[in-house]
Amino acid sequence: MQPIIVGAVLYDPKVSVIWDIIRDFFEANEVPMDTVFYTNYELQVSALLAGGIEVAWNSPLAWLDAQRRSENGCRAIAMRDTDRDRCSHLIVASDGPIATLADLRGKTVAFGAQDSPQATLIPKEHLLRHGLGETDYVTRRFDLAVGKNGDHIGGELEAFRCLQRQEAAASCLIDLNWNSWTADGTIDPARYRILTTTGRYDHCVFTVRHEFPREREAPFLHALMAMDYANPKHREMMDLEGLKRWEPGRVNGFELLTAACANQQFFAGR
Amino acid sequence: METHRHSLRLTAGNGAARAYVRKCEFRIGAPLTFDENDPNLTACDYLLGAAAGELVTGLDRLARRRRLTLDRIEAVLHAELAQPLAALGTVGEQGVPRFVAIRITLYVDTLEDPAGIHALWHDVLCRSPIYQTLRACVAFEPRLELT
Repeated sequence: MQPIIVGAVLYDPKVSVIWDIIRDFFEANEVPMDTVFYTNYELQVSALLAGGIEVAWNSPLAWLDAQRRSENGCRAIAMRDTDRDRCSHLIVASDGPIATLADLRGKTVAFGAQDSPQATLIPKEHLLRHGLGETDYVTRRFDLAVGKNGDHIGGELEAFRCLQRQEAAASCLIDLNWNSWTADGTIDPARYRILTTTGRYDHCVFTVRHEFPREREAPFLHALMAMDYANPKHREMMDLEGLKRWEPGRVNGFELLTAACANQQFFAGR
Repeated sequence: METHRHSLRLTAGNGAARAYVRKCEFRIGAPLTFDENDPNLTACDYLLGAAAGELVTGLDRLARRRRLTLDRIEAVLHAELAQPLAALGTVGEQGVPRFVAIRITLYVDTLEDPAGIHALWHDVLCRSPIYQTLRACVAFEPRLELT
């Protein structure tokens, strides 16, 4: 079997270590895999559509971009259990003046990077659906690692720091970061609270072109699904990847982001 | 005077190299690793270890020769690698991976006259070929702290 060529975006060189472990796992399961790393999702999507890679580990925004540029010519074949049904929070100071979403009118809201689904695009869509358009609040954006679609937590962290400095009335972050940062002390849950939570959305997804041969897809998915969290040898790898189980890909979790991209004209001119 | 020729012989296989010099040998793992659990010393580890080791042992040995007592020497080295993603062949990364800064601080416990130790330190730097080579191409900041 020829190696399956898998693309991944690196937001940190240490991420390559995870992919080395995954590649070794696939090799041990007699599914040879080669990885190609990219600095940003736009390049990775281009490579996927041009046939340079067969499988792309795509952010949700990259999934939409791949579908947009291929006129729905892609398939979502697998995702982590933790990629399903995520949400984002807008958080505020517990003792501050913001009691409702309407109180954000005229106030500054701190967002992550411009291409972060979880910390910018979806929270803005949420505000819009609750009657707050772009001009109803002041956007303070933290464009860290643009092109990596918010993979880098820096933008969300800087947005929270902005809230801490009282330079914003609210900041946005994905639920996973709220959970870990309130647990590790980065955010004091006694001083900050969740003002509102967005609707559910799906996150990263393994993406292939429609014509990706089923005889290559099947062993790829077989090896992927063979990862077993109950197996101590697999657990470390799965912890690094942030999942307990691989799930089939699904495409019904991108509605919020699709609307966000349309309303914010994210892809205009691209 | 003519240059002194320094030679090593290396063999490679299975992703590692073995270097032979004089009657010694040592193993070199990957060129570089980002894996905190990688058990093998990389070429970059050797480079940075050599840069620090040269100054630490140079100071210790020259102090002994001058009959200056240094009770303890410790050093901490921090290096900054630019364009690390280029080292991984990441598509879209511009430039080449290279160390752009090396900072080393030596902490020396001694009751000797500080002026004498700083003069010693100056001489060590002047005599250190790795430091003198690297400082020509990278921001190399050696610092001595007397404690």
